[in-house]
Amino acid sequence: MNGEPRLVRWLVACYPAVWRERYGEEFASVLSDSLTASPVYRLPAFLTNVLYGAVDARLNPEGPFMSERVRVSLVTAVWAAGLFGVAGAGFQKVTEYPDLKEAADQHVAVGWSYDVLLAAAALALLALVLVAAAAAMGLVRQRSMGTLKFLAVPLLAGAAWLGALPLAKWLSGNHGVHSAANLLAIAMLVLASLAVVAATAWTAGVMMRRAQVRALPRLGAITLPAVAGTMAAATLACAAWGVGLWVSDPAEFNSDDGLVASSLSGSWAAITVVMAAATALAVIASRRERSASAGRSAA
Amino acid sequence: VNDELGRWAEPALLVLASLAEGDKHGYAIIQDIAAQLGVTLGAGTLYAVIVRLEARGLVEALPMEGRRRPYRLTAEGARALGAQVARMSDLARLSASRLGLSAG
Repeated sequence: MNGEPRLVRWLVACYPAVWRERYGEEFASVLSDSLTASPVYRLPAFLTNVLYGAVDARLNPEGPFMSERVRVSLVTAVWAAGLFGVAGAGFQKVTEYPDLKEAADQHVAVGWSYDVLLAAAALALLALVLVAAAAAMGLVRQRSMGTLKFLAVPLLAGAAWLGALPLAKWLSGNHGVHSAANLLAIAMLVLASLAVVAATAWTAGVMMRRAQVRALPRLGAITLPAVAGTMAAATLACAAWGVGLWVSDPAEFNSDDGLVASSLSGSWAAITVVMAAATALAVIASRRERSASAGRSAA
Repeated sequence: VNDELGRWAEPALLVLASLAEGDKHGYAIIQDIAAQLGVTLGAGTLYAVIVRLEARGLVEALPMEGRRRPYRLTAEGARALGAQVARMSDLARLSASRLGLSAG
C-alpha cells in the first residue's frame, strides 16, 4: 500500500487493524480507482461514505471480526462505568452532609436505598475489575510491556489530581461557597477528576483491545449483563433515595444541601439522569455483546 | 437478506445482482452497478456489504489479482438473490395491478 496516495493510506488507516489485515490492500486499490475517476465535487460525499464505513467497521464488526465486537462492547461498558463513577462521586459528595447522614439513619427508605446503591455500585466495579484483571494478565503473558506502560497514564492522572488538591485548597481559602475563587477551585477539581476517570477508561480500553485472552468473550457474556444489571439497580436505588427523602423529610429535600450548596433536589435529579444515561450505555454494550455471541454460535 | 442486513440490504442486493453476471473485483462492481442501474455505490458502502455477504457465505473471495481481489457469487448467494427477486416480482405485479398499470 506504500505506493498509494497519502489520502488513501489515511482513509484505510481509519479502519480497524484486523479489518485492514484482511481487506486493506484491495480496499486501497478500490479507493485509488474511485478517486481517480471521481469528479472533485463528489469528493465530500466520497470521503463521508468511506468514513461512515470505517465507523461501521469499528462499531459493527462482522463475521471473522465478531470477537472485535465483544471488545467494543467491553470498552463501551468501561466508559459507561466511568460516567457512572462521576455520578456516583456526585452522590457521595451530596450524601456526606451530616443532615443527610442523619436522614439515612432516621428514615428506613432513605438508608435502605443508600445501602442498595453502594452494594450495587461495588458489584459493578468488581465485575469490571475482573475483566480488567483478565486483560492485564493476558498482556503480561504476551509480554506486551509496550501496552502495560499505558498503566502509567491513570497513575499520572491520579498524581496530577493529588497535585491539584492543595492548589484548589489554596485558591478557595476562606472565601464563601459561591465566591469566584471557590467556584474556580471546585471547577478545577471537577475537571481533574474527569481527567482521571477518562484516563482510566481510556487505558482500560487500550488494554482490552490489545490483550489476547481466549476467555474474553466468555467473561464478557458474564460480566456485561452483571454490570448493566447492577448499574440499573444502583440507578433505581438513587431514584428511590430521593423519593424517600422527599416523602420523609421534605424540608431537607428542598434545601440547598446539594452540590456546591445548590438545590438538593436539582443535584439529585441531575445525578439520577447521569446514572440512567450510564446504565443505558451499559445495557447497549451488553445487548451488542449478546448479539455478537449469538452470531459466533451460529457461525 | 432483507431481515438480516437491515440498512445494508439494498446495496447488498445490488452487489449480488452484479456478481450474478460473473466474478468481479470491487471497483468493477461499482462501475457495473453505476452503468446498469445508475446507482453510485460508495467504496465504504461496498466493503461494508462485502464483509457481511462474505460472513454469511453469499459471496466468496477469490485469490488476489495484483492489488485487486475478485469476488464470486456462491450457490447460497444465488438462492438468496433468487428468493429476493421472486418477492420483488410479486410486489411489482401486485402494485402494477392495483395501480392499473400494464405489466409490460
